[in-house]
Amino acid sequence: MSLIAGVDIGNSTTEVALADQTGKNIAFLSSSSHATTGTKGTVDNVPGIRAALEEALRKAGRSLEELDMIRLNEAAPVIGDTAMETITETIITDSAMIGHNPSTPAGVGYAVGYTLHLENFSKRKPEQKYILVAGKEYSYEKVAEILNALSGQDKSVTGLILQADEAVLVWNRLQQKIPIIDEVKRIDKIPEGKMAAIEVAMPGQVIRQLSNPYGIATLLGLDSEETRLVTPIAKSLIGKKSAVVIRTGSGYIGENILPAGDLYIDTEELTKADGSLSGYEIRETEKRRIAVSVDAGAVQIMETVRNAGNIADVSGQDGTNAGTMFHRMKTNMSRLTQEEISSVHITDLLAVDTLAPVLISGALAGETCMEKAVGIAAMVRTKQLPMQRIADKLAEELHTSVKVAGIEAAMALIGAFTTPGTRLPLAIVDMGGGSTDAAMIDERQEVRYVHKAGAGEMVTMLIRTELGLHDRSEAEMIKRYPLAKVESLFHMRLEDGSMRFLPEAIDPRYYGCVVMLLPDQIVRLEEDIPMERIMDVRREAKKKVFIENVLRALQNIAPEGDMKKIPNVVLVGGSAEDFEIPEMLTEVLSKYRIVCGRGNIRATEGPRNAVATGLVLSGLENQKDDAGEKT
Amino acid sequence: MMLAKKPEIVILEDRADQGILREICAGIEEEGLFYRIEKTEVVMDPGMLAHKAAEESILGAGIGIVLSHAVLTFDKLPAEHPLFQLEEKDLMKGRSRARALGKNAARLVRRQPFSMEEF
Repeated sequence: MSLIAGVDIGNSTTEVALADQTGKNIAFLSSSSHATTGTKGTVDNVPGIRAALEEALRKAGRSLEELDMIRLNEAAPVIGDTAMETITETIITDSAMIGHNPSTPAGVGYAVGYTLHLENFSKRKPEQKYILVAGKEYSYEKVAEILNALSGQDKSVTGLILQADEAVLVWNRLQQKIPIIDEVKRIDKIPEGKMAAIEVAMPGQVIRQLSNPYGIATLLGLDSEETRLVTPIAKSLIGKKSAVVIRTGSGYIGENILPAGDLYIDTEELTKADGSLSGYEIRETEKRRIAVSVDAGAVQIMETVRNAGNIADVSGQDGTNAGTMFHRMKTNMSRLTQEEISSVHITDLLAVDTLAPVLISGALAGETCMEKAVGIAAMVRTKQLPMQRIADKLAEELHTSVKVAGIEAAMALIGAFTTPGTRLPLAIVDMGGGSTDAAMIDERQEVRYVHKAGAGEMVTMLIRTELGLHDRSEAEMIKRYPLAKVESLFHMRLEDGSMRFLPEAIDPRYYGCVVMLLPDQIVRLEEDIPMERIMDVRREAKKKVFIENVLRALQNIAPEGDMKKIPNVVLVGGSAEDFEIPEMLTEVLSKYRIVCGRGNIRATEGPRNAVATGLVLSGLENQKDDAGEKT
Repeated sequence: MMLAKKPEIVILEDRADQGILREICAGIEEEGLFYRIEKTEVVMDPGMLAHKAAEESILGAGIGIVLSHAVLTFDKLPAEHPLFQLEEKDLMKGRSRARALGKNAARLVRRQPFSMEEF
């Protein structure tokens, strides 16, 4: 009888499976996991391994001295990175706009007039129409008093812009009602004596005139050319509850298409491999370079990637955004892998179309516009990680034999096969942080595996940019945990529509907010974004990355490239524990008649511990003969 | 059937500082809600007043003010744990916070996030 531990060092966690082996029988005793210490594949991992081992041994009531053998994984030598590039940009110069959602504007409708600051009120000309602008030094009573002092026939003030949050207070005191916009912080930036239009939406609705190019043209009397130029303003005001558009001159307003540049995909295809004639092996390869414009969008880029075949490297056109983006990613990865930048070759990429809120240059209140962007995840192959060094160090510390055993994909397959209800041929999908990995084993024990760029990190990046979050960790939480809206001091509405009641009154900080439900606490979302929108963005991001990648990966490993020849797919790894990704994949793959679901390693472990379990099982001699026999 | 009471936030006050009271009312008004002010002669601390006010309000939101000390609460909360308290030595500062207290009373009814900057 011998005590064996399988140890899987992952990017974020180190997992252990502990088992007793007697002849060909293996009895699993316990499992454990611990945060990986140091960068994966370095001797810094040893403390984490030790902690995980000790925990597993303690659970089984055994000691380190009893351990006969440790089997370590040969980690997959791939590393991924993500980047985002916007390909359009809205610039407004010599013109100004304010579009925001103050919680309580007042009055309904639109008004046109020349801007006039309240301190210059006495200088107004009687025949002109004015939009009055009042700083917060004027109280609501003062503003109302000034306006009410005008005679009933004097309709020269058509609208009001306030700095303070007092629109309703002023409006309630006015004898002649006009639309009022408040909470405009940078009131000093509003130029004087310029033609302006303001609009306040009906309650529960959004503005209609200023979000329509022809509406602006009507109000400000624009010709067709000016109307064309004002379109970006209308576009960025869509969905607002109130807005101001000011004509400041014959300036340039436009939407710039940034030179996003081309992507170059270098491929290398083996055209001839013949060693029969001369004794020398003749290998001929054909190298090609395919260019695709980033502007063409993700669908076109992915089509090109799919048809490219064996990708040797990807780069971007020098002097363009694409060039900078790829250079940045390669620099990053060369730092991580400690390899020369010239030897960093991107072997796969995933492109996703997205929208990013970008600050409009020329806007008065920091308004943003949703600009088109392309998100890219890239993957490079690295040198084999020096696992043997970790093995030596462990052996020395623990006085036991340590073996680096088998490639990770094969180990994960063996482990995943312990999930009840699986049969050969079997495929697994491991959705990690940087890459989506898939492997397949058929009846003849042949293993095929593939790594695709883009996984959890990419999802986080998409959520962060589309929602315009400042904090990456907030995006990470949105990805991982379900949402709820705190509707009263005593209950919240969960994202599926059900209600959860709280044992005692919730902290007022959470009242009325969208929160994320972590296992042991709730976290408030700092930004004011409706729960439905966050859910949509989160689900779309997961679909864009994982469904695309799982399909790409399975197509690659399927027998004769036919996905219908894969009867079952087991999802393993961290993302398999996600609360919605496995269901999304089950749904999509059912179209290919594939049974797909979250793994349940050894019928007890859920999607975790597949590699560690596989490492223990692969220790059996004649593993091949017994692969069909479950423990 | 007629409603016995109007949908108002109830304010019970005892010798309230007029500046504080005015600002609380402005806060409620700006957020588009109605309020009713009642003077009380009963000697009570503002927390108890607020609780009593909340129970009288069909919206469940009540404010109690004694001198310059104001309290906002919700009828379902225990009297000893009100939502927000305002007790400021500096009267000018107290008045600016009073606006936020009034807004929060309205937001409690409107189920919108509170303005926490002043609290």
